[in-house]
Amino acid sequence: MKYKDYYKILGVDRTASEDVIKKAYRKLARKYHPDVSKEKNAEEQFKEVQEAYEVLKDADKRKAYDQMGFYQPGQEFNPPPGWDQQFHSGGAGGFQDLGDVDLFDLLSGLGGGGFRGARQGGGGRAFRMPGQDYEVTAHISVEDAARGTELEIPIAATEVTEGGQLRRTTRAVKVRIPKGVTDGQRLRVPGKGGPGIGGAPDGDLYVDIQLRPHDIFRVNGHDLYLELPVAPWEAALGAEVQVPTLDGRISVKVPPGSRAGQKLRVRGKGLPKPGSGEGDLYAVLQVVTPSVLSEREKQLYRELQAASSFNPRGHFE
Amino acid sequence: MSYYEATLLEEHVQIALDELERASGLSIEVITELVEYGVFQPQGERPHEWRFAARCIAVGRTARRLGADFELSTPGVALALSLIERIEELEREVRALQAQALRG
Repeated sequence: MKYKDYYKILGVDRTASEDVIKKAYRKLARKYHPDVSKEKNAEEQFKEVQEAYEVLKDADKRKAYDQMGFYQPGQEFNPPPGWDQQFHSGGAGGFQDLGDVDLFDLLSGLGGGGFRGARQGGGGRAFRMPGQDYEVTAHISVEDAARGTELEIPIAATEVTEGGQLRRTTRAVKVRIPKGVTDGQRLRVPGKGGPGIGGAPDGDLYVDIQLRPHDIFRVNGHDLYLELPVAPWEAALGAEVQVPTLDGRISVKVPPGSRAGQKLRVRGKGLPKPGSGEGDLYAVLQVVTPSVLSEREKQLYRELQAASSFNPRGHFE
Repeated sequence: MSYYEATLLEEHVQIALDELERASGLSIEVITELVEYGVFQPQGERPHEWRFAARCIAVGRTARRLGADFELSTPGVALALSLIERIEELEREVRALQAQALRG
């Protein structure tokens, strides 16, 4: 079993009072709560903080934790002899090997209504606890969002073994993502979270969609944007140019007298929307000039300069 | 092994009160209060007729987390949710502007 230093996570002394622990938690919760935080790894950080607080705010769990001894964070350890009799009464033969057990899972099984209670089922009051909801982020390509895709999502979970012990496992859940999802959307797979205990319902699996950056398209909702480079003469005279879309190239007319930054909308060539309809594709014009000019090109530009009365900075005067 | 269908938590999918209660982990009382504060805007007059957009599941789960993790009252949760919604709107606008702007 790996040691976690809950005091260090909350940044408090081992002798800290309940009040100090609570204040430290509140401060860190405000900093790392994934619903309000923009910190990097806010979710993982908050889980650690929450876990530390769950243990240290409960006098019994804190005592059990303290009596495990002090180790370095991440160090493999086993609780001292006699620990499980004192805190985890009724275990058949105590703990032989805690290699797979998570420290927090072990501590959260303490006190009223632990996992052991759940397994007693038949006699007395049956303990019911709905399964935990799981939340994962799926990174998918823009193409997969457009077509829909199938994913195998690895899920780390805690299981109760036949012997009533806790074990960390990883299992894969196969999930079909419908077409029409886009960045930041959330999907729900009912019943694919953690197992419910004592006949209570299983938790749900939530999948947050994040689109991987695309080489050509930028995504805004269900609309796609791309930069469309055109030559100065194409912008001035108009042109018909080939533009990539998610399903092949299409021809787009650049109107005469176009300017950089102008958007050409291609209706219905964005991402499909859930239910029906599609977003649009926007080609944002970018006027580019050749970096190396031939003598002939230079000559033609000079002639254009001499012939044109165009003043691009007229509004400065 | 077959694939499980994932459903989008979007406007066009509708759910009843008991489904929202189960999926969000909020009590009926808190959901009713959040309806009064305008956080949830179900269709239908009376609670047993209420139909919520599936998006409310995500909002409800955020509400439950905020309430539990910050020990907030329901009005506090409602306020936090409306601020989070405003931030999300602004972030969407920023993303829209970034998508339209030319890359440096």
